[in-house]
Amino acid sequence: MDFYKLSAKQIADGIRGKKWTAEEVLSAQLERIKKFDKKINSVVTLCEEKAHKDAHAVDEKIARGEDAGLLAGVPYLTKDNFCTTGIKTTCGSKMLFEWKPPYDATAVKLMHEAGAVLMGKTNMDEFAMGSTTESSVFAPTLNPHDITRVPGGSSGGSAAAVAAGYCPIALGSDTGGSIRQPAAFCGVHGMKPSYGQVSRYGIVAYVSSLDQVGPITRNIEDMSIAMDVLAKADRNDSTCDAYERPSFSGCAGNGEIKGKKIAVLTGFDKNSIDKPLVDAIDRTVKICLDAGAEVVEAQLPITMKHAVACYYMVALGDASSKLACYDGMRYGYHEDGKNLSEMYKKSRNSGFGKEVRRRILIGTCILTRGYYDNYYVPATRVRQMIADEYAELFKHSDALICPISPALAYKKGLVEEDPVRIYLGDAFSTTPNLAGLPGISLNVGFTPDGLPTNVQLVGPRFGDAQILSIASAIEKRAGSPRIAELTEGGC
Amino acid sequence: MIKKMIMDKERLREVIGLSRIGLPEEEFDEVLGRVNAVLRMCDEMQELEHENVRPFEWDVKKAPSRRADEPVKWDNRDVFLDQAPVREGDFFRVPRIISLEEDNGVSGEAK
Repeated sequence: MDFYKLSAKQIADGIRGKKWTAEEVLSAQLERIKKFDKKINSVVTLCEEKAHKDAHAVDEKIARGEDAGLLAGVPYLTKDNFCTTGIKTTCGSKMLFEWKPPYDATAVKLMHEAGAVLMGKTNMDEFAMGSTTESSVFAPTLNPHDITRVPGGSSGGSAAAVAAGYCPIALGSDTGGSIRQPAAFCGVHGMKPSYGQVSRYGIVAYVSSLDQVGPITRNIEDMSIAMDVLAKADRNDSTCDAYERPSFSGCAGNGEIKGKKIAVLTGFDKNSIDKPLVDAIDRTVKICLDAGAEVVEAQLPITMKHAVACYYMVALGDASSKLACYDGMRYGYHEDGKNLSEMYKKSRNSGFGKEVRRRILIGTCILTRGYYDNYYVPATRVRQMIADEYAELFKHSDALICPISPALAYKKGLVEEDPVRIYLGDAFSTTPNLAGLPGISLNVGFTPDGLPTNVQLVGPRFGDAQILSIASAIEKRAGSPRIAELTEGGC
Repeated sequence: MIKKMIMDKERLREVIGLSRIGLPEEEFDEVLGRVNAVLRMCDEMQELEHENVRPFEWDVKKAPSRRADEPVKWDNRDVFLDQAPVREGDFFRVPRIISLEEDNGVSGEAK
């Protein structure tokens, strides 16, 4: 049985229906990872012993006739910035290379309670600071669809793993596009839920007011089921809203766009977007129109002009403050120094990679006297203006269609050659984070050369079920993502 | 109103000290250029009338209930001590905080 081709729902249904066991599925998926991941390098840690134990527990529950959960026996992977008890959680950094957390992130705990089986951890840009998964201490991850290209980032390992058929669901975190952009580069679906929808407890923070946990999948049905599992109030995260969530899978199952009002973003230079991605937007708009939606053009002038600057002020300022906790004393990388100051500097200078050190420095600049009042505080006001601009748009529309990245998957090494182009890519991806909105990176096809083309669906705050429903309706007409064709050792 | 500010070499050296990160001299000019590039990008925000806008805050549908402010018993102190880069018995070993040397660092400030 080719379990790797199945969705999470099909795997769980088969286990519940005793067509196959969780152990059989797990063994097959672990074998696939070992066979193909030497070159792709998307998985940095496997926890086989624990996984077999968990799979066995699911099978025993089924044998006893007990409810084994929504994701009974579904193998999954999570980004290496999710705390996992006794399993290394490195954030792709030398700083945390040997760190084993003493507790599970709430998202990991919820997946376990739903019967999902954690197989291991996935590669990422160091401390989630990057968009190519090249800055990891574990070496870069490659794109399973084209190994001369990057998988995007920072959750590049999770997106590549789902595209490679290692698991039907992987978890990522998204601070400025880190789920949605790699999902686009790897040709799968990725969702950043509304801020406050999913608990951030146990996620190693990059920017607390922007970070959000979300699923990467190959179909919207699995994504909705994952949201049913993950979106819960959590007393360990005071920013996680306590409202009663709808059934996300129920909404997506009834996916319909007839009569919906869909806005499509205009007002930016289409020549700055790779042509296949412009075509993908046009194709999606046509699908919506054919399905009976009303499509209107919309502009976000403040957002499109100022979001990147605003994002970098907020993100880097907060990150420099967050990462101050890595001092080489209580946990993490340590180097001796002749006094406290020298120990701090040596530990942090050697423990952090180049890009992280630079972002901390820029962030510290932003928060120093003069610069804080002149730049950081105005950025927090501009952020409100961006949220207000979106809120106004969603008074008249159910969802917004826009690009997630201006470029198809980059060639390897572009991060060093042209950081400005990569930064500009943030214009589309960072704004839902700034305004706390849900966004789905939706695969709607591939170029003739086999490169994925995704579009982004953005919804109003806590309109997660609404955009899942619209995404489901689009997927029915555009088709689901395909698994990358792999050969042993690579692609 | 945002006014144009430039990060100069002297100020950047001060910031490097504050961030507790050393920067190799050969990377200094590149980082200085990148800091100023970010600031120039942010200068454009000055065209917006934002003085009367409130700083961003989240709207909440339903505020989460708070945990009781009670101590929780934790029996497994070794879980944390085992993570210590330098452990000495039941203690985290740290360098001297009060230093006799002038080093313009944390120890200097603590004198």
